[in-house]
Amino acid sequence: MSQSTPEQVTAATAILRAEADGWDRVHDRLAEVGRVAPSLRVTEYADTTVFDAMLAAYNRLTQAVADRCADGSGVADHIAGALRAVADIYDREEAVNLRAQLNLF
Amino acid sequence: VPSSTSSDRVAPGALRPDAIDELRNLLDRYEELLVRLRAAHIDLRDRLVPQVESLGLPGLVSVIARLGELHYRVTVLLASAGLPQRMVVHGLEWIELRAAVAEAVDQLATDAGRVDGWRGAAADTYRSIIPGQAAAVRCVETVLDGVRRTLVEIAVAAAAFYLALLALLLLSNAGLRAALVRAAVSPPAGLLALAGQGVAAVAGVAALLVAIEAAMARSASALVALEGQFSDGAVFPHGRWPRSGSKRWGEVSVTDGDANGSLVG
Repeated sequence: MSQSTPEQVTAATAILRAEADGWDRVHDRLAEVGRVAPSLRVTEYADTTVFDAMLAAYNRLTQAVADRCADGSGVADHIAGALRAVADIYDREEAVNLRAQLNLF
Repeated sequence: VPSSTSSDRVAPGALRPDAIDELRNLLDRYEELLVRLRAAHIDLRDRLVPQVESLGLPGLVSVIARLGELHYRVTVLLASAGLPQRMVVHGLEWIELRAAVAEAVDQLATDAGRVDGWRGAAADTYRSIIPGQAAAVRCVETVLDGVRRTLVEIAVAAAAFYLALLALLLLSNAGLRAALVRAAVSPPAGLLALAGQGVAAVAGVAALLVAIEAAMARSASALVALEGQFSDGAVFPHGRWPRSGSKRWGEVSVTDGDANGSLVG
């Protein structure tokens, strides 16, 4: 494989970091749902018999939404971090290559 | 001239401001009806029953028992009378959450994976996980939309139930008052009318209960089915959010074509 130019590396790492920013947005949205959903549980109307089964199902679902979104936000955060780590590696290697070419070592 | 300003724009799935105002007005009107419902029941409990007792006529025991049964049932039901309004308010919040997830869906559908200068095994792994992540976020959006829809159905059914209860209580109150007047003038016929009114009121409440219990059973099933979507192994392998696979991205290099990732040179 031929050597990437510094400009190509700069452009590619910028794209990777922009991609990471997109995953940050996914993380933020899912984290918001994970944070808010538990507050939407309904516990005041327990033992009314008419609404008990429905409320139990609703509260279980609310918790399931919160759990799934908390899990998903963590994964999105992980992906964003991994993309930035990849961009950092490319930047570091490019800096090393540049120093080598300029006989800085 | 732009057709709309930025303040006019509404996020996908979010409510228009005028729709929110309309819902607020409906909630205010529902609150007013709720106050009337409570007032009607308190009137029945605090004034009518003692008046019947004050007649001191034989045979009143069964009438009082009927009214007591009605009072008990309505008291239990009134404890949950705020539920329809609560469901509407929560429904609005679920709409906002769905709009947030819709943004994440759009992000993954339109912007993710545009890393054309990145090649190699790591880049391939990254591209391969995006469809799974997008499917999981879409599933959440679908579930949240279902929650919103089901809460609206619950609110409508419960509000209809309490409004029917309101109408029943108002009619029963009027009927019991008329029977009471009759009982003061003509005790045997009046007592019979009082007992009949009590029986009719209890039966009316029972019929309303059958209807609302059936509606709530349907809603409970719908909510369980929505939760079941999180158990779909094709979207959530092993019952979890699909993993990122990013542990396999570590060995990347700008120049090494054999490494897990490289940039196009």
